[in-house]
Amino acid sequence: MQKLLNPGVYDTEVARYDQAIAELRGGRCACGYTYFPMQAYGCEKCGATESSLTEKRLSGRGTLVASADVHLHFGGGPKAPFVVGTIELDDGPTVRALLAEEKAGLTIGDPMEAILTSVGENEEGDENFDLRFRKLGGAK
Amino acid sequence: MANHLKDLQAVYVVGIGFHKYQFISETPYVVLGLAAAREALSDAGVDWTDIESAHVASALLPMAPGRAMLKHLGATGIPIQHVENASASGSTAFRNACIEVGAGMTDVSLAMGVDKPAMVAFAETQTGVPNLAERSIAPFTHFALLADRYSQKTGLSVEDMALVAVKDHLNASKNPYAQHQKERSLEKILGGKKIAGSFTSLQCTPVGEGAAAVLIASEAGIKRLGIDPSRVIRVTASAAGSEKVYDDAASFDAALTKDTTEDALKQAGLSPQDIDMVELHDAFTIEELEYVEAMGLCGEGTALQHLKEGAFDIGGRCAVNASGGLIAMGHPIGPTGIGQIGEITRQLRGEAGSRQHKDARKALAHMVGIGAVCYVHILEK
Repeated sequence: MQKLLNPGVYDTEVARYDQAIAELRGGRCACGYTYFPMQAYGCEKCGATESSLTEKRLSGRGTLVASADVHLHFGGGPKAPFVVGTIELDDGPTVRALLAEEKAGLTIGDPMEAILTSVGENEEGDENFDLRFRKLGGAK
Repeated sequence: MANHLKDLQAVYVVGIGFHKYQFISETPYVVLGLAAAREALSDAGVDWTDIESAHVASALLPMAPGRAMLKHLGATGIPIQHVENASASGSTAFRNACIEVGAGMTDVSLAMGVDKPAMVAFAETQTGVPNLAERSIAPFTHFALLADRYSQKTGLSVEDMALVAVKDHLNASKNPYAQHQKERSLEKILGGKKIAGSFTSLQCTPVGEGAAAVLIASEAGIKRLGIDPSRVIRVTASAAGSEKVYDDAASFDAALTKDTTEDALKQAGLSPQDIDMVELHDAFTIEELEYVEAMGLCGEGTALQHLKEGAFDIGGRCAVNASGGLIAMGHPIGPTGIGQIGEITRQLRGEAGSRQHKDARKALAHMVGIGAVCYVHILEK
């Protein structure tokens, strides 16, 4: 079985997850503010309550704002080294994510896209897929 | 209209004390805190029985450390308020004590911070809202991303950014209360352990333990207790704010710093160019560059040029982190914001010895805290 590691945050419409284009599960308020991740506690911009907040699938396309090699890490998440980036999504919100790229090949302003990649099997033998950003049209 | 600190009765820092910031040890926090509190009392020449309230900042110690420590000065029964506000805990305790004295509820109050390193959870991870990769972004990685962006936008090199740490370690080498007290060459700083992005360990704050204390008094308190009026320093502004939704979401620390500093300067009736020295939240090198620009001490994208010209050195146009800052003096969390006030008071008194900034008359203290919150205070001779 294919499993999404963090299904509350992203999804895909592609049947085969490996390298599939991913969408981000954001939200939109009646005031016009688009945000990520989805929550229905209240709008950070205007304070509107749940009835004004609807889930909105955000395109995984965006622009690279910054990236960094992480050599040391503690407190959950993957083991270092890994590469992280800040991406301004075409749909508005700015997100931070793990990257499927070497830092050396990246420049701010690069067009990016969100894809799913295999991160190994869980205890039941399912294959887990997690979201990474890569340069738009990057190597398969 | 809302009142500012300057609209209340005048508030002065009258005593300062520290326990050296240091790497984690077996020393109980009580020993650290009592050393700072006793030094502040001695510095002001007052007795513990003269103190009418205590504001105790810590972010890493377990619940309610205050009375278990302060009772050893004599259990006088005064109100003790604990303050946790992330890295800005000490700044918040200071602000609360200033407001209390300014309002006339006490004439002499203690604001102090004490902490020891411990792993604590951030509430933002327990909101019930899932997130994408935030647990992969430690504070140093957050700032490494900002450093990458700033460097690519301005053409700054890895060596350029590390010059902030060279200055801060030089300043701290003259500060007996600093966790790092060694002058470090650019090569030494660049050659250290790699952390994230371009940061090496000596470009990141060494979170440790320590304590800092200040006594705050009204004019009535100063007169009644016979405190030397030539050594008191007035607090002329206290500004605080929290993160809003910004158009440039990635640079929220700088945007929040800009808004809060503007508020403080307006309260004091000053412009950025009037400020002789600044103690700011430089847990990582990039922060100093971003914040001096956000505060208006120099134009956008010009921080490096001013740094290289020596404008931010002790003796320069505006000394930035004469104490050594968070990078080199250290950042025990609870004490840090109080320690900034102690350093500024020492400097404005002209008692800073080999790290004395010449003609220091107006100074600004700045802390941000995860959350995000920001506190700015202005002190004037």
